[in-house]
Amino acid sequence: MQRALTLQKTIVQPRTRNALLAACLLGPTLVLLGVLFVYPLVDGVLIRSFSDPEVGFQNYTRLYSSVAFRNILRLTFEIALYTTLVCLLLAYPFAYFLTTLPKRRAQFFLALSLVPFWTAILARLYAWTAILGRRGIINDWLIEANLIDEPIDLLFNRTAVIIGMVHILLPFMIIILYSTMIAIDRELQDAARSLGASGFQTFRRVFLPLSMPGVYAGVLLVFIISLGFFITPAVLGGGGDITIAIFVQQQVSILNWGVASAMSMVLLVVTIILFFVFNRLFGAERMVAGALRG
Amino acid sequence: MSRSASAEGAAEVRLEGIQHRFGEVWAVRGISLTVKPGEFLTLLGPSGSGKTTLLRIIGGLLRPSEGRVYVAGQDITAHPPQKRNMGFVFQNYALFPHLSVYDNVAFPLQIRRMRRQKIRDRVNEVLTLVQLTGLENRYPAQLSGGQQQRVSLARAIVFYPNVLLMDEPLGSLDKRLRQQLQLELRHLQHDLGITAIYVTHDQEEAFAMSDRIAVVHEGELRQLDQPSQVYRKPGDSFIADFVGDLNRFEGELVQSNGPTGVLRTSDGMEILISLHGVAQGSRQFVCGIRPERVEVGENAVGDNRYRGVVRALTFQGTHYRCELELPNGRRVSASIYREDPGVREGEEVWLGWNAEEALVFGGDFNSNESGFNER
Repeated sequence: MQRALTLQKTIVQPRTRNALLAACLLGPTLVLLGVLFVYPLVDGVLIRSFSDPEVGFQNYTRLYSSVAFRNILRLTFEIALYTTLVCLLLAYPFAYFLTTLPKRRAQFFLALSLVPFWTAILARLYAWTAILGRRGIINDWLIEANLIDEPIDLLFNRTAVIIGMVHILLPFMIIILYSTMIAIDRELQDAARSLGASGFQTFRRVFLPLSMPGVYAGVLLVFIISLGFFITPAVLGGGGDITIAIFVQQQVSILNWGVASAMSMVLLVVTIILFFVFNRLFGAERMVAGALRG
Repeated sequence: MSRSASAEGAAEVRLEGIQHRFGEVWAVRGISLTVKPGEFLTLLGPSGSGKTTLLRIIGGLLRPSEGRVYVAGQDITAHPPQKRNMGFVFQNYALFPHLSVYDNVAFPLQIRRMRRQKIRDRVNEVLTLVQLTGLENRYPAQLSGGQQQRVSLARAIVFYPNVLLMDEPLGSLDKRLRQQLQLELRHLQHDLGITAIYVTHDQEEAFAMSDRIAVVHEGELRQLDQPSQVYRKPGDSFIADFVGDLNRFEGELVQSNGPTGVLRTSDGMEILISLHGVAQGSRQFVCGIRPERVEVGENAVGDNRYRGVVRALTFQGTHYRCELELPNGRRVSASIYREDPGVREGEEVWLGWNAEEALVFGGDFNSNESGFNER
């Protein structure tokens, strides 16, 4: 009886009230995104890509027919992919290690891993030039240890770019993985052991599958952020390593707005497509579909 | 491998001087006991008594600080859990959320690299045994608590373990379901002929299921006996209190006359007690009388008779529960198994009991009601 009454109440409750609540919760963010992101995107970038210097598809056809453009696109994705993989390989064991520690010590190590966040990005990048440069720390050590005679080139190449990007993005990956892993019930691993599984089998059949939602989320986030990186490849990369962001900046600096806009749109569309494909293949909802659907 | 685990698969479990310490705290302080093959033994104790720690040591999830664990005469103290062939049922079931019911139960068989067809046959057999057929493709989150408990049980017996360990497996279920599952669990264990060690803090559950009960308190084994003996002849006043309701009177022996003596409490009550089988030489005693042994009413007789005012009278279904207040302010509980209790609230009545109905313990003044192991 009581239950029926409450049900009735929810149904009869005016919809406008829910709409008002939704507006209060979503409104500020929607307005902010609309004014600062959607409007400039449509008005400044999308329209320009079809109208600057003249109306038509010529900006896109120019990009499409250019080998250099395809190389830039490929290079951008390659760097993003390597950065993401290196982040994942470094962060996964680290986050796993954190989950085995007592809470307080885990928080300490987590805070340590966040130190890169507290430093200005340019300071960090110039620190890398001091470390990796021809007269930098690593070359000095290697020469002093008589391992090499001449300084070797560690800077201004793709490896340096990936090192720099990993340095910046690693904390994201660690936090996402850690928060997923810490939510995994430790008793499940005891259960697996008592059922006959070795330590490795327990990891592969219980811990790993349960940590995969975190892996997917971390990979997606780091990969998408990597695609738009500008400063790191600009500072640490060689002249040949032109990514999409650098290319766009170059085109803008010579007032070639149309091509820059077209390139930006290509990156945006490819990223959106990737996001949906990835979500469809490994989406979080698929991982726990069985567990959550009633 | 036989179609179902039979009595020859049951193993004796022997603990020798098990001690375990978490940092500075001793959770288990030297427990030795033997569980017979095929026996259902319950570790009964309040929370924090060390019973779960002991169970995890038997299952290999913890290495004891000291002592040895033997199964079928073999020292397995250093064996990891996966080498012990023991089924473990966890309090919160610990079902794998990413696996279906079928895959949860098949897990131990897949680990053992059994052939696919054999796995299917065995899983179906066990799911039938625990009455879960038809739910193979559900996920744990889609099951009720009782169903999850059955899956966890099926998973723990599917691989023909020698020993079944259960850590308060029915703790989070409602009373009716718990009682039903107690019976089922007991029958299942009997049919499988498997040695079972069961942890609970619920004395009724322990009475209902066990061949023997091991009462654990403050990391020590206080009594190991059949359920009826634990209730009727508790080893000390803590056990007497823990396994059932008890009116306690602590006092000094002021007079003894062969098999009987008179106990005087600090608030001046004099109680006739039986000194039969009580340690000699002691002056301090605890006398405990269970509520169902206290007679109430105008014709209440007994060696000990007092006047008391009925402060509360509540109907409990099978009996009335009566709270009486003695002239010195002390409270006494009594259970009245009559259709008409014969007393009313506020009334002053007689109450009494015979000396040999009471439990008497020598020199035990620390009541130990807190269940924590501090030292």
